[in-house]
Amino acid sequence: MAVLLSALPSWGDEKSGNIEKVAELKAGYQVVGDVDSAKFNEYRDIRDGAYLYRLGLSVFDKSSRRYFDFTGTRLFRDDQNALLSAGVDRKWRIELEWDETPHLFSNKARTPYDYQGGGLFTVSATAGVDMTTAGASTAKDTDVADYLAATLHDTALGTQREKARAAFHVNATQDLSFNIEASVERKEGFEVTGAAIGDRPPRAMNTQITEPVDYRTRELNFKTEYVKELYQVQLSYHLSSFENEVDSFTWENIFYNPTSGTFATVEDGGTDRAFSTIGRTSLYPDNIYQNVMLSGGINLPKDSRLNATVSYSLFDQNENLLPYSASSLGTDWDSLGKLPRASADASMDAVYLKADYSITPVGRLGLHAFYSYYGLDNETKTDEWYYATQDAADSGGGVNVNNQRKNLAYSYAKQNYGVDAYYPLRSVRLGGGYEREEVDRDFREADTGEDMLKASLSTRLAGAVSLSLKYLYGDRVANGYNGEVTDESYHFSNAVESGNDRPYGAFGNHPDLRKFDVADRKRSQFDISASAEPMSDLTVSASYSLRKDNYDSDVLSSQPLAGTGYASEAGTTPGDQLGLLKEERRFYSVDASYVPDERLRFGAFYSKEKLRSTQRGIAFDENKRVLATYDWNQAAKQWMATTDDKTDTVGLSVVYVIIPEKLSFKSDYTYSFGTVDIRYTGYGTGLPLDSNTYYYAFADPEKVSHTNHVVNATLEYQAMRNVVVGLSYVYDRYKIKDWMQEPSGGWVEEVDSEFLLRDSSEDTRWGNRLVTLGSLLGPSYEAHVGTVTVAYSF
Amino acid sequence: MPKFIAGIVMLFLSTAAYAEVGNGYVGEKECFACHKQVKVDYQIDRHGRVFTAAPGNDLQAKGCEACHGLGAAHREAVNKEEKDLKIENFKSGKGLPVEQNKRCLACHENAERGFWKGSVHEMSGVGCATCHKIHIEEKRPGMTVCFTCHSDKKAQIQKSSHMPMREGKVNCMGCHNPHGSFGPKMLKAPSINETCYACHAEKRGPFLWEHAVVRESCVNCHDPHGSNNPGLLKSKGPFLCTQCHQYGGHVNMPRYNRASAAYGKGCVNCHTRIHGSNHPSGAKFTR
Repeated sequence: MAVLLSALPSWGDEKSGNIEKVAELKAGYQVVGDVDSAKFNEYRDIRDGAYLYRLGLSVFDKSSRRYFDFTGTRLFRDDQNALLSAGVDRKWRIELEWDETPHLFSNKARTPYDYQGGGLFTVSATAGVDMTTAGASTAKDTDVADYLAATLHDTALGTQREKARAAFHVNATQDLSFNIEASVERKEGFEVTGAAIGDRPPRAMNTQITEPVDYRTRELNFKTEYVKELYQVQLSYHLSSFENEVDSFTWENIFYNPTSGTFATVEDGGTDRAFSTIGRTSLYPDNIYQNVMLSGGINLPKDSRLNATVSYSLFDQNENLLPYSASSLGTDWDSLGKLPRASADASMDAVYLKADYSITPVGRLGLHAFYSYYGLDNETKTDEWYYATQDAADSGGGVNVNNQRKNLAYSYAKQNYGVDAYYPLRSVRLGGGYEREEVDRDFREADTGEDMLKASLSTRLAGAVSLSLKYLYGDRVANGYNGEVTDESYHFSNAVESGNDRPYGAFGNHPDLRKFDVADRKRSQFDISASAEPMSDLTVSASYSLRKDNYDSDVLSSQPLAGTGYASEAGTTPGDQLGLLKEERRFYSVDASYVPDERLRFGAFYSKEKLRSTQRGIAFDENKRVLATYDWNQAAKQWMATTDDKTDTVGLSVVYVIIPEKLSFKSDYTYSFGTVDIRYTGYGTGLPLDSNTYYYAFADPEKVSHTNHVVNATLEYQAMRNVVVGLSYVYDRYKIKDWMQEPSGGWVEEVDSEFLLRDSSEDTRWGNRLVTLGSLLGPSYEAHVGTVTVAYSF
Repeated sequence: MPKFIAGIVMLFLSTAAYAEVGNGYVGEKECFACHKQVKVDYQIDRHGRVFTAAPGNDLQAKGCEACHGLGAAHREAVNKEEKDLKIENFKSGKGLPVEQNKRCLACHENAERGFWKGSVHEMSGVGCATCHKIHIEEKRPGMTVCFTCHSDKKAQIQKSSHMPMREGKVNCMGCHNPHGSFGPKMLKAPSINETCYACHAEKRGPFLWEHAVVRESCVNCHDPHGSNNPGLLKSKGPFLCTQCHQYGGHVNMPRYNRASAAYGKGCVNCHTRIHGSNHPSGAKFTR
């Protein structure tokens, strides 16, 4: 504070005319129509009442060059920001900042759970339903629906970030500066997650639940820079410590009938299984990140410059681990003693090197050569862990343990190098370049190498029209694709594993699959943009861009189980690539600005974006993988999905000074209409959803759409020299239709309410039910906001 | 006393502003005699206030001529109505900003601008004046400037799923350095993920169970500039996962026979720790 005060300009100098003062206060009253949707205030805080939109104070002493600035926006609201800075111009500066950002997910979510703090969710009573095979499934549905009707209550769903930051910058000499910054951020609230109990669907019982968020992130940044005319050097250090106050969360099984004993007995396809009365999961662990970076640049002859950067990052995480299971079923699976180690002991480091050199060797030819390396080395120790699945019992009454897994330490190293060039030829600027990217990965399906060629042209035609074209072609090749590499995690020993799950008989993925991020890829990118001034008061620009990615990897039919002795060893895969096959993006835009006179300004913007992706999958039964009845070889079981994702955006604006320096009007309108339309073809298409034979059946889902209209209009009247009175109106309308957020598809039905969903097409097991927090957590809305403001400045 | 200080200041200002008259320099006063509107704008512009009132070095003390070159020859050329006005007006390069950029970098080649040469923007022919007004103090939100060229991003932030950009809580410069960077895509950090971790520190890990595709790049699944899918995802939930997972169990179809597979967060309804798990039985990110 003493430092801040010392920066305060001497008010006594005001009479000399050396003090510049600017102050601004904008306050008002806001009325918001009834808006019953969290989406309206997703990242903001607009509500009825008095509002301090802006508070600013700036004082500058021209003689001592001391200054003091304060800017506050949306003060006392959940999205407020306040920034105070003071110092001596070009000598030193101190900054203090407070910032808040809300993220509201829903104000209509309902749950049967009560949060007790510390990550514990309880229910006031359990469903008390006979969940065994003896009970009729529809009766269970009704009983659970009745239970929910009696116990559901509102629950908060959203987070709030609050960040305090302090920074000090000093220019020790004309060449040497230091900057130190510290911040603390707190994020609290609840997000949406799932609370599953049970090893796998359809046995797993799931409930949407609120996940507690209670994060603290403390950061320290230090940076120093030495700047000379010919060279510059920067050194920085960054420390970030993340702490989650809630390491795990635990929930009671709402399907648990207290009268049934210490575990819940639930029907599982004609037999009964025991489920834990509670479920538990780990949450994001505390972690520490550090980065040190040295960077420099030097100007050399021939108008050239060499830049180089060395960066080292260290990631550490050593959170204490939970036991395998929260369940007391079986023997000691809820004991920490069964773990190979008690804490995560996880660590990674990342080394980044970059050097680039720019030169103008001949005439106006510009060249830029570059090399970069990013190596992420995961040093986390690998151990063998039991895979105790979701606190459910096996048929013998113990915790269901499906063999063991190894935690693999994924690492990768990426190198990019190449050269870019440009050459101005008359009024045309020609550009070209070559770049190669090589990525080596541990425990991934493939290493990749990509060659990229770039070309560009820009020109100004007839002085009033600018034109720019760009083209990029990339050819990425995966160096041998090993789809079985993930098995290194799943099954660690043929000797330990038995039966059909032995490693050589397992499919981590179907052999015809190519993961798109490590697959072959041919990429084409084309951009063209033009701008023109056909009249002195009119500017028009337009652009078109095309992005095409083709992941065709020349997949051939293979015989994945050859030599295993399994009944299916002679089988060959269809040889049609699975996974993401193609992506295409087209974008068109037109932008215009018309200024007929100093008092009137119009703006208009229109864009259309069309994304199309094509993917292929196959329905096959893992359990029949090695049997004589296997089906992973059947092309007839393949399906295709083409997703069309389109967005239209319109923007219009007008600024009209009705009476110069007295009365002005401004308004803008934004429209965004986005749709996602999926066309599903192939296996299961159009087949009845209730057929046991085709229980994988799927049909084109309903088109998803989001529509948003926003109109802002403001009339401002300069009532006095220092006073501006404003009248604002906002119309904000949002409409959403999304089959993933409302139970409207043919594969899901409501049981009495939106809070219990059921898929009865296959069987009656409880994995086919989902207790939800409610549909469309951020539903459609139509909002009107009126505001009266007074701005005072001097 | 105040009058004395003011006098000193005025003396300083006058000597600073016109110290370079002679040797081909004419001084700002001479420039403003013709360029009247520039004078009006320049006096309240940051450049004007610094160059005139408190130049940081000899170059700045030259005022207009620090960037535009000697004024005497220009004055003579104007008087003689010559075609070549003998002044650097940055139009001789046929719209190419190289010369203009050089003038700016003479003072500004420090901090993040040290990476300007060779940056994507420089190599694309962008100049300092493409984004910055040199003579006029103009306050435009940084994003508005970026959107002049990046119209696709301007449209993307209007999508239903977006970061709080249009609400003013995040802007382009939060992640990117438009002046050039040591990182990829003009990012401020060494990698895409290390950029994302600046706000999403909880996802930094490292975790006991890593999801390789997540560890390599957040943008494999997310589009940070906006999406028509919840959570900034690049595809609808179950379809995104099935692009990489064609396992023989339950994940090879966008709709398995579970109510939860096609609802809410799709596969993530059960695989809740999809960014990485720290649970000893979290191999499949279910807890």
